[in-house]
Amino acid sequence: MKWQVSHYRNMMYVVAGCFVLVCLWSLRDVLRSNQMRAAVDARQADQHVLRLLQQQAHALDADAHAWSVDGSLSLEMREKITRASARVTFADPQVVGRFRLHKAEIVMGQESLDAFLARLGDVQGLLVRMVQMTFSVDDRNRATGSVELAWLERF
Amino acid sequence: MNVSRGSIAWRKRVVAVDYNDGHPIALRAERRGARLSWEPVAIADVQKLHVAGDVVVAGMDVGTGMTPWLAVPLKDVRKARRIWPAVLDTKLPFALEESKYAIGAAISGELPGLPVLSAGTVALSTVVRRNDLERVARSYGTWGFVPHTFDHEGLALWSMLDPALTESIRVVVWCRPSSMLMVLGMGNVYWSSHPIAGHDVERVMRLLHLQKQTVAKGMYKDLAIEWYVGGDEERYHLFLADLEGVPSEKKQILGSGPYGLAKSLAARALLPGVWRMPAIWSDIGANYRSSILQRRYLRDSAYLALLGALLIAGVGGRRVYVGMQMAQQDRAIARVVDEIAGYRVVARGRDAVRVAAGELESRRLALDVFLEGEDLSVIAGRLVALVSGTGGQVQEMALDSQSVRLRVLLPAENTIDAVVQSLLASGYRVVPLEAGDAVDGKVLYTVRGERGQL
Repeated sequence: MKWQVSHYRNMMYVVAGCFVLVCLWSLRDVLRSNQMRAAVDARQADQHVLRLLQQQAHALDADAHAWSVDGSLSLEMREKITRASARVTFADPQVVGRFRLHKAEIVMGQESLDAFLARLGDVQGLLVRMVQMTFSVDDRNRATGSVELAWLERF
Repeated sequence: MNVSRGSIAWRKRVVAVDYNDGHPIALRAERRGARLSWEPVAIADVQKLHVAGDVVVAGMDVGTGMTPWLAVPLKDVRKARRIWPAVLDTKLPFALEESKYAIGAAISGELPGLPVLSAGTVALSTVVRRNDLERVARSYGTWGFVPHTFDHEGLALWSMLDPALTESIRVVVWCRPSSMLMVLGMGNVYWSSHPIAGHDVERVMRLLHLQKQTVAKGMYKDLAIEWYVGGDEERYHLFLADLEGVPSEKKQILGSGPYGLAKSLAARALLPGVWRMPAIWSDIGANYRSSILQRRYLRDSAYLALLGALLIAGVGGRRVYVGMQMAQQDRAIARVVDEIAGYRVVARGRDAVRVAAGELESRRLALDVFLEGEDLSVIAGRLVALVSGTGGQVQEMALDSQSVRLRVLLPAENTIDAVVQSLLASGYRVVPLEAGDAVDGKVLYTVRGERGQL
């Protein structure tokens, strides 16, 4: 069938209709572009927050690294702490970032507080920190209580 | 008054041809904004312009074409339009099917000067018998072309007048060497056209008198007359001389030379104005118009499709770009979150940031004891030494990085101030102080302290 003018005209109307739909779709997309921009901005804000957190994490690691020991030294410290008291309990190491956090609880048993603190002073030189200390002293200056120590092993 | 577009307003140029006493003349006109520029062309050159694609519009002499007024007692223009052909059929001395016609803009309101009395809708039409049209079209065949469209000479002559809302009968006479063309109307409103053979002034006056008596049942018969003449200079001067003594409101020369009507035909084709009629197409003109319209529809479709494709590509491309940008940001966020948390975090977006912040906080708490300035054992040792130095005794101590609780037995002559100052120096804020009664010269103090905000 030979195409008449009306066929060409109808074809143009169909194309024009499609074009209007495309325009509406584009308009909708343009109106929604604010949402997309907001999503990009939110991600940028998240990245900014994360950069700050990352800096803090690096600073924390650097500070902690000064207190950390390697694996062999960690074993040595464990032995020394064991020798410092007969009543020592070691907790399972806890992974904290790039470190293992070791904790040991030493129980005092009716001994002189001064003597105990002196023994503790020996252990201090081993990059050990005290987490908590609880004791009470009786009339004869004998202390009972416990001390929790911690040290960091890097890996 | 309705202003309509030119009959071939979609073209920018036309060639107008007309007979001036049997001699064809032609001009080529071009629309420039609201003006028309034109130049005469030899009739022998029209064929080349015709072949090159210019539309050729030809004048229909008043003896060939008719301009009947149509009237229906309907105010609704759309309904009136539907029955115009039937009304026109009743006005013709031949069958409507044997003719080609064009109907102008409908007038449904009050318009002074209309030649028909109607409370409904009126319209001016142009009609020509097909045989007559073919005869005119064939007459141009000698010069190798057939005009595309035809327009009425009488309307073309009327269009040469300046628009005026005067309440006078306007008589326009176009003089040719051996004939005249007479057109009548009132104000802007066209009434009728009449061919005058030779230089018959008496016939002009008779026609004028007849029209005054019959148009609109003679309601305009007492109006003043304005005369407009043009065409062959020698002839219209003779005509004006014959008008000496005839009472008239105004006598004005429209223009001289043979091209006036052809120029008006071109203006009616290209420029908007009053009494513009749809074009009457010859067969070849209709084919030409079809091919032009087909090309235009195809071209417009192609442009629209191209524009649509560009829009889709633009919007789609932008979407892909923003999507890639967001994906890149997500990957960067996930990498940093995993690094801070120390493991692969499943959560995404704000949740992932919260997980990272929580992990960092818990790590800070776990490592807090290593970040403190003084070790607790040092604080404890200093407190014990301080109390022992005054002769007192620490009876109880509970110490960690966040809080301290002490029960201290001090000699009555000493105060707890030194202990409090030591705790303050270590960063603890002392909460309440309790002092018991003195027993054996010693007082039992209880001290509580905390770090951070109280």
